[in-house]
Amino acid sequence: MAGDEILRVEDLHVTFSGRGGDVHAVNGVNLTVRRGEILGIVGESGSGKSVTSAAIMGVLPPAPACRVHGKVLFEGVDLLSSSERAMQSIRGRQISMILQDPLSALNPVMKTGDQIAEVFRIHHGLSGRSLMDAVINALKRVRFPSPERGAASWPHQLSGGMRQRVVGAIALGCEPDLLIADEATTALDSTIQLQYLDLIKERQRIDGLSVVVITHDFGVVARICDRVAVMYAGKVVEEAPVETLFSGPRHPYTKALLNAVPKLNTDLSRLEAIEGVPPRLWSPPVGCSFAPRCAGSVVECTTRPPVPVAIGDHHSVACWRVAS
Amino acid sequence: MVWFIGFRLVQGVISLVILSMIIFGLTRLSGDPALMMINDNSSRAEYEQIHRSLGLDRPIHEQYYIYVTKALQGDLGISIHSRQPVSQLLAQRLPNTFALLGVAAIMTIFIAVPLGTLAGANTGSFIDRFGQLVSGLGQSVPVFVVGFVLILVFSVYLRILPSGGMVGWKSYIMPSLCVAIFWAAGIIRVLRSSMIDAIRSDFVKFARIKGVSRSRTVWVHALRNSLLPVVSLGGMYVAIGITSSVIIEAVFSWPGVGDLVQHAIASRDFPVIQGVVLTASLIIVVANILTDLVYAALDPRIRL
Amino acid sequence: MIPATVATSAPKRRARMLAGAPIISLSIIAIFLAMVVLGQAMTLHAPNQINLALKLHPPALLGGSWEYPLGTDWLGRDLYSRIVVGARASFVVVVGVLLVGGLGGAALGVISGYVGGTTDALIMRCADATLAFPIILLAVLITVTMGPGTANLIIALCLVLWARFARIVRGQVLVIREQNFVVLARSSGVSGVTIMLRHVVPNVVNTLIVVMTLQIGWIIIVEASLSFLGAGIPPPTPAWGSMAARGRDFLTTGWWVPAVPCLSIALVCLSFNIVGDWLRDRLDPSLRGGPD
Repeated sequence: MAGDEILRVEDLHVTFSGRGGDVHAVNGVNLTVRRGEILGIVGESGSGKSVTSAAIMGVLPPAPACRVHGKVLFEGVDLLSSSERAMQSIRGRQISMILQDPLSALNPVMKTGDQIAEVFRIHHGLSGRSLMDAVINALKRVRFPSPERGAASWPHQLSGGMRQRVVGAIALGCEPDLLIADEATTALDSTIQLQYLDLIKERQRIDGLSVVVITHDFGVVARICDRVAVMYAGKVVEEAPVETLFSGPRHPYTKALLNAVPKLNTDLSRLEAIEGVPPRLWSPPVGCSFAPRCAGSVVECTTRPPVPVAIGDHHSVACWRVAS
Repeated sequence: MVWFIGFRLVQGVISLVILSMIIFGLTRLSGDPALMMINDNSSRAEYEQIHRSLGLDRPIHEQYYIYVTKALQGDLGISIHSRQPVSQLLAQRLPNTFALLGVAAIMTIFIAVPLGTLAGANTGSFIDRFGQLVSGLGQSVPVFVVGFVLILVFSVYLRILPSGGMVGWKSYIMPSLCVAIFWAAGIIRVLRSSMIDAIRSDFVKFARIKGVSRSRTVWVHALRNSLLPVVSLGGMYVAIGITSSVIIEAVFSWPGVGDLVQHAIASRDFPVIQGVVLTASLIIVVANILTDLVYAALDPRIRL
Repeated sequence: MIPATVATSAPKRRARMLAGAPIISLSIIAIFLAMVVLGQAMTLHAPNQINLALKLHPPALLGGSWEYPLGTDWLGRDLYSRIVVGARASFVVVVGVLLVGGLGGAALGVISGYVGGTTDALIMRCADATLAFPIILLAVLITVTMGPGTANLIIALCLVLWARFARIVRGQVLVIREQNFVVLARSSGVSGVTIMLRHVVPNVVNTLIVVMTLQIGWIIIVEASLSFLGAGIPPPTPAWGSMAARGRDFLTTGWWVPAVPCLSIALVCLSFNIVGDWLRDRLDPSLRGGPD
């Protein structure tokens, strides 16, 4: 593993066993996150992005309901083969995660301050005065107005934006090396969204925090990401630095996604949608998963799954048409 | 806050009034109470005297008024069977019933909370099936059946526990256990399903992401949430407890209110029944009000 | 986050509906119904015939004879025959309560849910009040004041049971009311009564079947408990509950005397509950975890 890589996901496969059969949520995902970098993972629902993040954190349901293969190397240690004890120590301290819905992320019958304090109590063994100080500091770091009152409040008394800051305070409390933000701003108003994203960017700048931002919103990607990976049907189909992806997307799916986003000068009478139906994750096709919806597929697209091919500066695409 | 208590108290009083009217009305349907107090040798004059002394010659709403005022002063009539004041009989017997229910309550907590929590946290496991078994018992079997089984096993075969009466600490075990099983049955069901919801919730997921151990998410995070629905049913459990104690006291010859009721049924001693039902109504109404107050105090989302 | 499961084909779904039918429970219910219907025809001896010479004989499998397969009680009466006759007594109560209390409660639930407003509030307040009250005490009060008898017992049970039906049915009605076909009927001027009868009622039938089955066990338990206390089905009918009560004194000398009626009660209740759960999972899973 390269020295400046903090996270490397190698050939990750996640399969869920349900009553109707197996669902292949993640089919061979490879990702790397460099130290101090913000990687965005973009895709529609069902693309496998959230499952990937859950796999990294080790919070997927246990076998036999869910089977995981591959490697998740964090600072050189494979998280998938680590013990639960080791993972508990890593979660919240070295790798943190923020979820989409701040209201449901906080326990309604526990005070806000207690929930923040928990990370410090578990990971740093703090108590008493130093614990309270740590809680207040954590709230200050996410620019929470009047932290003392916030700590004494109940979750339902706070607004959505405030709650998400509390979640951020918990996630960043122990100053982790890696933060995973899974649709963290989706449920927020647009102005709050921007503030929150800037908060994350600030942490990257000041603390050297590495971030994985999972989203379906290209606006978020544009705002704070350094690099982007596009996922479809459990695979990474394109990976590139942000400017490169926006200016020159090569994978048909990426192009279609970007086309579907209305821009200021778009003729709104015709919004572009992506043709076809979402992928069948329970019986993945033999070739490329996107082939049924792709306008320009060639013969190989239906016989062999495409492999990622480097086509430029840190730019890789998994598409037979591009590779040829 | 004050509004809330006041409102509930008013509701409670209304309920009690309606219940007392029903109880009063039913007893007037039973025929002439004076007839019950005399025997074959009494003269008509005696009958009429009793008739008058019971106020039966007054109009019905006056009778009701007398009934209520007497009850409020603690006069619940005289038992036909034993000629003692009903309130005195109740005062003798209620402590015994409360003792039984108190022990049963402690047992219930020790049975239901662990079983319900572990069943909900480990669905499909052995302990889940066992919890569901206990819970199913409460709905499939009358409480006296459990009593009989326990007597058979522990009194008749193993001879280690007394089969009846209220003598010594050993006599508490089986009757309390019977009540506890039925209380636990209801609690386990509610607790288990709340735990299942809580464990699937986002805040438990987030707690694990924070690095909280699985057992702590179950016993601290999920349980705290899951106990709320259990508390909200507190009034219902009081009612179940009263019901169970009546039958269990009959099975185990426990000298409490239930035993009193059973003998009163046999001798059609309706002043006793009337007094018991009225007292029970009062207890249940109070219990419901207390439950609401406790629940409001515990759930931070209901700030008064 | 976890993807949804896959749709299966129609024949598979139908097979799954019938599979897992609780055979044992259904058999026990069948036997119970046979006892109810055939009554005296199924007995081996006259159920009330006293024969002191034969008192306290154990059941056939425990050393007795097959002429008295479940043993005899302290008066030499055949337990098996008494159980058979007692079945009908319990069943009459069940049917009576279900018809009057169940259907009545359901009707009130439909009205309450559909009409809404003050009527709804009023009906639901009454329902809540009745639900909170211990049925045993209420039934005891009624039996003692109005006299013992199956009819009074049924009345007492109806007074409490109607509330359960009313609540659950009302819940269903509230949902159905907002469905498109009802809204359409309302806006085209169809009268309320017609809507209730033609549209709402057929859709609550499934729920009603499930709730009725699940309540049968409860009715039997309450009836048995009341008979146990002496406030249920009056003698000389051999109600299972009173058989158990009288048999309590013979736990040492003839434990089968109370055990046989207790076991009968337990088996029948359990069977109805299991079948009720199975029906609920098939017909209306939304009832799972509903009020007791």
